[in-house]
Amino acid sequence: MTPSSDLARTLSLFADRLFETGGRDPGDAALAIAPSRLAVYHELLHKNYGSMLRFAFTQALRLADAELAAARGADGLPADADELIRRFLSVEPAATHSTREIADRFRHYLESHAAALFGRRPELASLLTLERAELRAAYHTDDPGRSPDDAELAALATSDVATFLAVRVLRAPSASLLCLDHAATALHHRLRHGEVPPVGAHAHAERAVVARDPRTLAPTFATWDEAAFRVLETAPEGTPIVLEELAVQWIAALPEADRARDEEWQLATFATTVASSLQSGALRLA
Amino acid sequence: MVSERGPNFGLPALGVSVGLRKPHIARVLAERPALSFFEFCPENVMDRGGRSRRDLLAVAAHYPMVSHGVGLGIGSVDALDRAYLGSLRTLLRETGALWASDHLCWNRADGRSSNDLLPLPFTEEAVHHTAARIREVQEFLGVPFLVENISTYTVLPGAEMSEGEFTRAVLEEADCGLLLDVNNVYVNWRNNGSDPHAFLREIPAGRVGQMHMAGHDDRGEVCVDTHGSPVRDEVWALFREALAHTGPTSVIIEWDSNIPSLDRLLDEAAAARAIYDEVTSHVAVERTGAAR
Repeated sequence: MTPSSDLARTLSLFADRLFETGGRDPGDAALAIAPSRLAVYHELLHKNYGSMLRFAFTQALRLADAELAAARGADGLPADADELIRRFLSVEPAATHSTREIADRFRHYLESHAAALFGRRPELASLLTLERAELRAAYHTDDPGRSPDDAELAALATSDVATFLAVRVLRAPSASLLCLDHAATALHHRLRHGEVPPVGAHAHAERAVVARDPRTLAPTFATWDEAAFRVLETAPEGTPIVLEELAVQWIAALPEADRARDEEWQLATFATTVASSLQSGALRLA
Repeated sequence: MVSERGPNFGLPALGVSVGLRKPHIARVLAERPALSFFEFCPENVMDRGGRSRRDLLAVAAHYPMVSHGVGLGIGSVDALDRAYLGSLRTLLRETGALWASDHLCWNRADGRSSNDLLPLPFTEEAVHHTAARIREVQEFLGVPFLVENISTYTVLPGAEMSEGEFTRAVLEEADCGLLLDVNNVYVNWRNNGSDPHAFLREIPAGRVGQMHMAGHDDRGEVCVDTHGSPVRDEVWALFREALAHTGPTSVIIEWDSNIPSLDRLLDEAAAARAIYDEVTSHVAVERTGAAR
């Protein structure tokens, strides 16, 4: 099919009218469609993209709605997130049906065309990152390895150090390790429960882990201090590693002050992080 | 009525069932309702792991499955999405799907994906283009392939034939089956004035391998195919007429928005089954008589 064929031209013009590419409908002169019927196609398109984006970025778009309402059109911002989505479609709609691709393109659109929104709500960026990781935890292909059952977890918790350090683990590819500029995990939780916290309420940075619960397969959220987070950062994604080797690498990666701390603290931090991560699905048995 | 492959496009006539929807899966797995098959939407699982995949494969372990896609956009002019097709073929194999279907429509132009089912112009050029792509897809997937007549809200300028003639031409040139959506036939009658009885006469009945029944939103000037309400009486009437043309087939009740309880959905399927049994038993008697 050549791009200059009648069919190609017709579909391209229909798409121009549907997406209002470049922010403008080329009108009946391009391709005649009754206004009431074109409106149905617009409605279906917006509903379709809107439902996918509100599924992917449920709390981020809730926050955006609240902020856009407060902005009342300042800085050229639209009145609500639905209008934001309409503008997005006229600039860079997705090329496939993939929710993940649509989410990534929308994020890119926000950063390049709605930067004022981040200026008013800086924590929105961290929230978008957190919810994109949530989508990854829900949809990423099945992880290699397996998760321990309750009996295995209990046995690990009571095992001697040598037995524990001989266990082979891997970091689940469905899990995300996030260094966020804002405390998006708590913000996400509050938005889910109907609160819209004031600007600046979650201004501190956090290290978050979003993983797939091995039992329910639902996304789980956790925040970690720097030393514990570094255990997961050190574990290679999808590649088995013996815990003893992971521990050595982790200690080498710690800041000088933590490297100098006693062995009891190091072992407790390491073991607690590993056990908790095996439970949350961020780590799996190889 | 009978194609070279035999009636019903050579596919098993599985009777009446429902589309598999997420809110119902736990009960389906726990109670295993007496249904002859399930239809699933592959885009909800393709390239994914996690819960949606686990649940679908668990259902597929107990029921015959058929796949009904919404993302192929077979009539689009943009290149066929090979990654999409590869993922679909993998999922068809994993679920043991008896056949696959998608829509006789386009969804993508110049790299823009509508994620919706858009109308093709009823032209010779569109027939040849779409049929060639269907042949390629059918060969690649390795299972029988059906296309579904879509609901439309406009007929694009430059039509050289009716929707029925267009559909027939594509089916025959592509040598594929038809998933006859009876609700869409009704919706297009209301929206575009296309004669539903003529449409049913124009399509090759022997190529119908499956049917869809669904509800729509009647807004007066336009009917929108929402799959969010019970099947309307006018559509039940067309269902009888369609079954009289085709004989036994496989029928799915689609309900995608305002999804009701599984019990309510099964009630709708029971209503369809009562009509299906009544009409197809007459068709069988007529065929037996004709054979004598």
